[in-house]
Amino acid sequence: MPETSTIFFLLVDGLIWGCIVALIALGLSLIFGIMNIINMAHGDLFMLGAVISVLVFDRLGSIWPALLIAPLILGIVALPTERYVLRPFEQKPLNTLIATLGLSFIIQQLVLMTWGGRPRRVPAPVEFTVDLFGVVFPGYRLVAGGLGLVLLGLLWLVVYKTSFGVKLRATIDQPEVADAMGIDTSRIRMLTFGLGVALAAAGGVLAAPIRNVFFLMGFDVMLMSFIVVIVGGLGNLLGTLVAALVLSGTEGFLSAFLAPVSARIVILILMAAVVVFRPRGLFSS
Amino acid sequence: MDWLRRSMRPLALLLVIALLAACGNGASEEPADTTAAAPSDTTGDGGETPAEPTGEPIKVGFLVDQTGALAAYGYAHELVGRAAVETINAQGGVNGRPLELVIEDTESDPSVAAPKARRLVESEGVDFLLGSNTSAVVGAVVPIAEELETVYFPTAGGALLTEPGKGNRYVFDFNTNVKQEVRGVLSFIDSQLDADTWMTAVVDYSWGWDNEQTFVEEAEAMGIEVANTLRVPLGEANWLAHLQGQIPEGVEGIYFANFGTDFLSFIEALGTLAPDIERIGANYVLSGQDLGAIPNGDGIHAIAGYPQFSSAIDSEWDRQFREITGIDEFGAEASTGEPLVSSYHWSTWEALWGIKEVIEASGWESKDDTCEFITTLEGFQFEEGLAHPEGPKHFRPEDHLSVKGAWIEVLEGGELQIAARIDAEDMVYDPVVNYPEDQPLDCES
Repeated sequence: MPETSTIFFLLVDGLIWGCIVALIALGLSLIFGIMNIINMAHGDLFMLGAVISVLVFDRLGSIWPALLIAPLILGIVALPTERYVLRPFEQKPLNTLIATLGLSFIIQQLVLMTWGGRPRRVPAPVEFTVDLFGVVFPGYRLVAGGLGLVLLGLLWLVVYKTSFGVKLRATIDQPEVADAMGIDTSRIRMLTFGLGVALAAAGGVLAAPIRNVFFLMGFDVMLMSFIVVIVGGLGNLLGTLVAALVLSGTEGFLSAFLAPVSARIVILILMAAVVVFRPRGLFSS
Repeated sequence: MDWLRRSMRPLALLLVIALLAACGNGASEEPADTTAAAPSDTTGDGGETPAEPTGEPIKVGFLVDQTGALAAYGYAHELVGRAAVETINAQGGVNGRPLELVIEDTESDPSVAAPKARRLVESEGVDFLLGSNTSAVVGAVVPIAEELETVYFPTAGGALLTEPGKGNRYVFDFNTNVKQEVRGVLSFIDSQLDADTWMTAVVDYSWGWDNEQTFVEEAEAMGIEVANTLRVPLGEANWLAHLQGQIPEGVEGIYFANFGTDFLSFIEALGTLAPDIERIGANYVLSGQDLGAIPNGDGIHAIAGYPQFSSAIDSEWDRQFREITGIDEFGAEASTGEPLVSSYHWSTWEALWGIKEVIEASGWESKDDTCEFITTLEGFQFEEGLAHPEGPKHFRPEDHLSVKGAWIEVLEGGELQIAARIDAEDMVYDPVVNYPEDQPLDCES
């Protein structure tokens, strides 16, 4: 039986990671919800965010500016990508799966060719530890989790308290009606894709000091994000957020009792059960 | 503007396709600048220009991890392999014939590499197989080498090819294996480190398992207590979660086998949970790292088959090897200053030179003479020189163990110092297979 402090540590660590996974999974969910794009390159956009944070750190000595720079650059680059590369395939999930798999491959190889295959470490921008009930906890993890929550709050404000959010939700729920009501759904799609990419990039920046930066680092995050989106319900934002926190927390908690691989297997079994009994996700109506 | 928008779609698609094609082809294209100039005189015979090699090339099928998880390792192997062939050909080739590399990308994946190895032999007609830093690739190619009766020089080191069922008569790896390396580490622990109770932390795949199992067995035989063993999935970037609660009270040292992102995450986590513990790593765990940026890095020990810093060897041959291959005195790529993930790269160099030496000693003319090549190689003594800058070595005939020494490096102030030289005798163990007896060849009957 593991010690209580170990269980507590792993649970909190899982919840913190869940905040970052939620950012990435919400981007994935938004993009699927509005465009029916299964974005296989989403993990690589997370990786690009992390790579940019290293580049920013090398030049400016801090990763904080990257929290603005990476989402901005990648979000802007995403706009024409959606318009001219993905638009012809939208609403055809299988086609988008192949197209974004191609994008994933391009991104990985471009990073490998230009940045190399060597993993890099970016130091945490704040160095302190916190004693939580007898467990030494690296302070940056708490900061990253908090910032993840702040970004999630901002996203909630954008989606539920702005006119863009109203149009976005209208385009997700009733695209034809939204079109008929004069909403420029083409522009909304483009901006939503950019927003989803920016969220992944922000997740990459926050994760860089926790997870070392490597051109293949996106795969594991993408796998977890897909599990979260499937369990939370495709296109369901609240469900995605809850699923990210619950699944990451559960995986962390289980890691105290099981081997890490077994904990991941349990999560995959949970996902399979959801797919069988609630194919539209736990939180879909 | 509609016509413009319409025309942009196919153009954008074309761009994507072109980029994909460029990436695909890039794997087999030559890097823009992979070689350094060959030295004017490496033979020591007065600088006479050797005749240009002519005739049918001797082909070596070179399996390189150009893409995939070990791409950074593959880059170093390719850099060194190309430089070796260029130098050998500049010195007159092999028995007057040119040496030629036929390169295939393994994608660091055995399911990709195995059919490519077969194709290299059956379609490209290569005479020898060489390479891959990926031990799983080596495991997949070893039986193919035997089936196709082709001499194979793996460059992954970790695989225990001297164990029953793992190697065969056709396979020779210039690197030490895990068992030798662990024995070297333990002899250092026993004589130099003041720590009696240890634990292991390894990546959860065959290389990690071999390190863990050998360490536990050998340590217990030496009376060193191993209080816990921990396996963590390969590529795990959050070792803190795995180490939490896993370091038992009283543990004074940890032997670890991980690299790349796993290593960085592990060391950082250990710095948080047990900053004062002794740390000693498996072969090349420090390879390719930005040494000054490793958190809590001072005092990390690791075994190395070829030291990263030239000051450790301090020989003319090592200096020439680095100059030709474009590697600086600190193990970085001279042209960029970036740390090179060198790992087992030197064995690519030595294998290519070894092919030349054994061909010339055995009278090998074509693949029909494979038997003569193998029997010559099994008794061959490789002398220290430009061909073997690491030092003298030979393959033990029974199990093809590479009998060579190693170094224990220690990180201090962002630089690697040599903590100890481990002699070959302290690392060898009794053979458990006898390939010549079990697999006699035609020319021996």
